[in-house]
Amino acid sequence: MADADLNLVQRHRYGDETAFEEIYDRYGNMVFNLALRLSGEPEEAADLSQETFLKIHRHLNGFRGRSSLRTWVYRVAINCCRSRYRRRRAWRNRQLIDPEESLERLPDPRRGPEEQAIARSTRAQVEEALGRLPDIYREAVLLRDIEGLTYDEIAQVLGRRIGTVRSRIARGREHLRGLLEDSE
Amino acid sequence: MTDHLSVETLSTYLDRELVGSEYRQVEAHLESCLQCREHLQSMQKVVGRLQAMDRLTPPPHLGFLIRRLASTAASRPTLVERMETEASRFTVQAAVAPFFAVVLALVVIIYMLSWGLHHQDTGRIPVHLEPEPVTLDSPRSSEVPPDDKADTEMSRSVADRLFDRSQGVWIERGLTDGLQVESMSVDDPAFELWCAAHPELQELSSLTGNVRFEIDGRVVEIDFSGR
Repeated sequence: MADADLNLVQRHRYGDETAFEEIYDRYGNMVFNLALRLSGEPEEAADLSQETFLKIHRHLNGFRGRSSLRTWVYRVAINCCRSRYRRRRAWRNRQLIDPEESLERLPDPRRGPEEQAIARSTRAQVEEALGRLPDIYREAVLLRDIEGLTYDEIAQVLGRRIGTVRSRIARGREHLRGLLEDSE
Repeated sequence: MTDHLSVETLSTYLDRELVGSEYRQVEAHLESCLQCREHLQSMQKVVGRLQAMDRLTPPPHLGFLIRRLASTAASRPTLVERMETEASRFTVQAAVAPFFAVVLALVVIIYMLSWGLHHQDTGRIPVHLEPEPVTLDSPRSSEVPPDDKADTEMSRSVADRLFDRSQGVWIERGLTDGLQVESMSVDDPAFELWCAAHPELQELSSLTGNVRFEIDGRVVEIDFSGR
């Protein structure tokens, strides 16, 4: 565990509320985006973020540092999402909502208006394809290709062996490739 | 070349997770196989599109809400924490649970042994038996009244029983000292009928044992012992 992570956890143990605020500042965006990609709905993503951080706040004292704090936070978030899938199987057939309508997108100064329109169309296609992926593949692909975790970190987050992770990423990408080719 | 690279190998190669000889073999294969190269490029394109996805900022109120909920949660134990506390208390109780289980088992064994010994002494197990049902009003099959012909015919056998339809009683008939004798008990309803018909029989109240009477040309032996 990195020294900065260790320091945050220690401060939280001693009742320093600012430590939790730092954790939210550091990982809030990451958790929200993961929840959004997994759920496909901004409101669900906000609920899931809230649930995830309350769990983090409650269980941070029990964090033993066997993995990095970032990996642990991902794991808590994934578990919250999974328990929500189980409660609401309707997620599988959900209609994806364009998050642009309700959320502020990070500005990209490199893109002009035309490029932004293309990007929006492309993003909608990818999000729809992601929504059709089976949960186990979607989790693996998101953690690898959007969140940029290593195979080893993904194995820790998902609680699976590296071989399983490798297979899920490959199958998820292949499935996604087929879906995107169909939509073009 | 007919053996193409698997999807998993291509995906792992794309992520630069292959090492050593495996990596070199894939490189060599890709140089010579157009189909695998195209497959790899197609997969690379998908990954590129995923990586190009914008990151969104959470709603501004979310951070405030989470901080507020966290500070509230910190000041009071949650339901889960209360359950965990109860669970830890139960763990302490669970340590003495085997002791209570052993004591309970001993009590049950002792009770069963004492119960078994008691019934070994009496030689039987108490079972609640229903008494055999008895129909008081209906005569047994052997006591079904004979037909009219048999009723009027005087049997010569000793202790022949006949049913007196007029009085509705069984009358023992037999031969004693050459006389035809009818036997009757004082408990017999026919005796009461006789007493009602013959007031002189009221004087018989002091008699005991078997006494014979001749009434209306009939010899009747009445058993007073049951009085």
